[in-house]
Amino acid sequence: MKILLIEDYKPLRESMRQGLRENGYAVDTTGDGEEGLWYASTGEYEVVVLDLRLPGMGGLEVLRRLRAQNNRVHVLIVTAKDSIDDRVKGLDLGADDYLVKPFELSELLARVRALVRRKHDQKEPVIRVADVEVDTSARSVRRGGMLVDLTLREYAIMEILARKAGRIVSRESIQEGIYDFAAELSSNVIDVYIGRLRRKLDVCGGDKILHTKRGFGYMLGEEGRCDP
Amino acid sequence: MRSLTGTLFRGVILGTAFVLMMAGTILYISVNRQLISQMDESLTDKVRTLALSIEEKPYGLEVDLEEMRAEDMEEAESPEYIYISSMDGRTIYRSDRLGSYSLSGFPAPLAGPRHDWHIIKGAGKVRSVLFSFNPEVDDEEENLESVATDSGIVIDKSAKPGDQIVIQLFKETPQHRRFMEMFLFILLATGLGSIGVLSLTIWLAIKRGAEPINELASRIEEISDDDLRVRLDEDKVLNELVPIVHKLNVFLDRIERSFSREKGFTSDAAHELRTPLAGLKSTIEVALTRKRESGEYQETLERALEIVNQLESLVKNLLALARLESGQEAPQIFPIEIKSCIRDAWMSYNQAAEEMEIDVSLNLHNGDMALIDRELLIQVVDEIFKNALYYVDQGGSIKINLLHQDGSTQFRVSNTGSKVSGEEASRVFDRFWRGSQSRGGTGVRFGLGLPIARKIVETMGVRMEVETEMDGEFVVTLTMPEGNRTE
Repeated sequence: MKILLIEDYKPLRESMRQGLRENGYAVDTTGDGEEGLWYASTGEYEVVVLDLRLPGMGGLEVLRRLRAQNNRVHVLIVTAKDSIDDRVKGLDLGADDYLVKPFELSELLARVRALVRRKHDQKEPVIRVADVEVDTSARSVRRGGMLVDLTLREYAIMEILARKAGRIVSRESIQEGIYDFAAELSSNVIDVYIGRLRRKLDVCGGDKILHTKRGFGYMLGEEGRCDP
Repeated sequence: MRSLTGTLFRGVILGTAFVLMMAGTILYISVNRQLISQMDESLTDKVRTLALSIEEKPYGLEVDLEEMRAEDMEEAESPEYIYISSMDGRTIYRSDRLGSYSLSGFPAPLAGPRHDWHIIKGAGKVRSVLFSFNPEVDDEEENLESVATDSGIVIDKSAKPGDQIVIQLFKETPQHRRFMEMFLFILLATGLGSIGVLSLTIWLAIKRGAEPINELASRIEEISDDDLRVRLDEDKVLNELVPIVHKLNVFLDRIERSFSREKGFTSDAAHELRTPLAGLKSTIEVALTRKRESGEYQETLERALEIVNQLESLVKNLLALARLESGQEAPQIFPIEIKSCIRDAWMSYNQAAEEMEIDVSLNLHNGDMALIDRELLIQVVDEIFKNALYYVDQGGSIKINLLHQDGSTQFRVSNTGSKVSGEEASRVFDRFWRGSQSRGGTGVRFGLGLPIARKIVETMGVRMEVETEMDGEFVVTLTMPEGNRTE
C-alpha cells in the first residue's frame, strides 16, 4: 500500500509520513510540485495526498497535469484553503476527496483507507478469501475466526495479496507497495516476509492458502494447483 | 438633504421671477413716464393758450374767463382748474375747487413751464403746470364800467404795467390712474402666469435632465461590497457625466483590487497559520498514537517547539505588516552613519557564511551619513542578509556594496544561486510569495520578510528594488535619496 505525499511544509510532511508509515503504508514524500508530478507519473500509488499551495508548480496544476496524462490515481487534497470555491475547483479538476488543515490524523487515515477501497472497487472494509478475513479498517487478519498476529509489514503484504486474491502478484509489485522510493532492500526480503506469513497463517489450520509460483510471484487463494 | 432637482428648480424660478419683476418694473415706469410726459406737453400747450386770454389794459389786468372757457374746463371728464396770481403772490383768479390754495415763495420768474403733482381736497392727486409770462398789452381805450359788469371778466386794478403774471393749470388724472392700474394688473397677471408656465416647463425639463443622474445613482446603488465587479458604462451616459463615470470606474478598479488584495491576504494569512498548526497537531497526534521511548517523545517536543517558534515568528511578522500598513509605525529619524549599521548587521552572519564557504566581498564606502531610523535600517539590512544567505548556493558568493551614485547613497547586496527568474523578481514583494523556492528544510520562510522590509524603508523615503541579473545573481538595492543624505 504505497502513498505519495506532496506537502512543502517539512514538519507536517514528516509527521504525516510517520503517521501513515506506522499504519502500514509505504510513503514517498516530496515538498515540490514538479517532483511530486514526476513521482505520481512514474510510480504505482494507491493514493496521492496533495497540498495545494506548493512553491513552483501549485497543487491544482499538479492535479490538472496528472489527469491530462490520464492518470487515474486517487488524489486526496489536503490544504488550508477551505472556501467552497477552492473545494469545488479541486474536485472539478479530478480530486477524489478534500481535507482541510488542521485535521485529525484518524480522519486522514480513514479517508486514505476509503480511497484505497474505492480504487479496488470494494465497499466493505473486510476482504474475505476462503477462511481468511483481512479487516482493512482495523488492520487485522483472522483465519477461521482466529486472530493472526502480524507485524505492520506482514499485514501490508497480506492486504496487497488479499486485494488481488486468486491472481499472481509479482515480488516487485509487493516490494513497490510496501517500501518507499528510496529504501534499499536486499533481494530476498519479500521471500522472508512471505515465509513468515505462511507459517503464521498455517498455525491457524486449514488448507494451504498462500502459494508461491516460482519465477512469477505469489498468490492468495484456494487453488492449490498453482503450487508446483 | 438637498436635492439637485429642487435646488435647480428653485434657482431657475427665482432667477426668472427676478428678471420678470425687473422687466415689469422698468416697463411700468417707462410707460408711466411717457404718459406723464405727454400729459405735461398737453398741459403746457393749454396753459400757453390760456395765457393769451390775460391782457394788460390801461385800467389794470384783464382776465377773460369766458374766452378761457374756465367753467367748461371744470366740468370736463378730466376737470382742470386755474390759478392766476401776480409774481408777488397776490391771487388774481382761482377756481372755486382750489379752495384757499395759493402759491407761496415765488423767488424769480420761471425759465419755462414747471410740472408737479399736488393733492387737492376732493380731487385727490392732480397734475399741474406752472407758467410765468408777461401779458400782452392792449392800449385800446375801453370803458371800465362796461367791462366790469361782464361776469366772465376779472380785472385786477392793482396790477402794474410790465408785471409778470403766474398761471397754474391743475388737471385731475383719473384716466391716467385707471390706465396705470390696469397696466399694472396686466403686468402682474402676465408675470405670474409666465412664472406658472415656466415652473411647469422647467420642472419637467429638470426632471428629464436629471433622469440620467438618477439612473447613474441607481446603478451605483447596485454596487455592493460583495460584488465589486460592476462597472458603469461610459458610452451610455451624458457627455457631461463621462468624466465622473470614468473616475468612478477607476476608483472601483482600485477598490476592487484593494479588496481582493485584502481578501487574498486574509486567506493567505489563514493558510500560513493553518499549515504550521496542522504540523503541530499532526506531530503531537502521531506521537500519542502509541507508547514510545522517551527519546522519541523528546524528539517530538523539539519538533513541536520548532513549529511554535515558526508560528510566533509568523504572527510577529503579520502584526508588523498590519502596523506598517495602518501607518502606526512612525520611524525615529536621526543622522546616522550607514556603514556602521551594515557592518554591525553583517556580524551575525559572518560565521555562517564562512561555514558555508561563501565568498563574501564587503565594499563599504566611507563617511556617508543619512537621516534614517537606525533600528529599522538594521532590521531591513538584517532581512536582506538573511535572505541572501538562505538562498545562496553552497560555495557561491555574496557581494555587499555601499556606494555613492548620482547624488544618492546605494546599498546593494547580491547573491548567486537564486532560482528567482527575471520576470519573477518583482513578485518577491508580494506577501506570501515564495516562487519556485520551497519553504525549505526548516519551513521558516513564509514570504513576508522582503514585503515587510520594503514597507519599512518606504516610511523613511528609501527605495527598495530587486532584480535578477543576466548571470543569475539576485540583487537587492536600497536607494537613499539626496534628501536623506547629510554630511
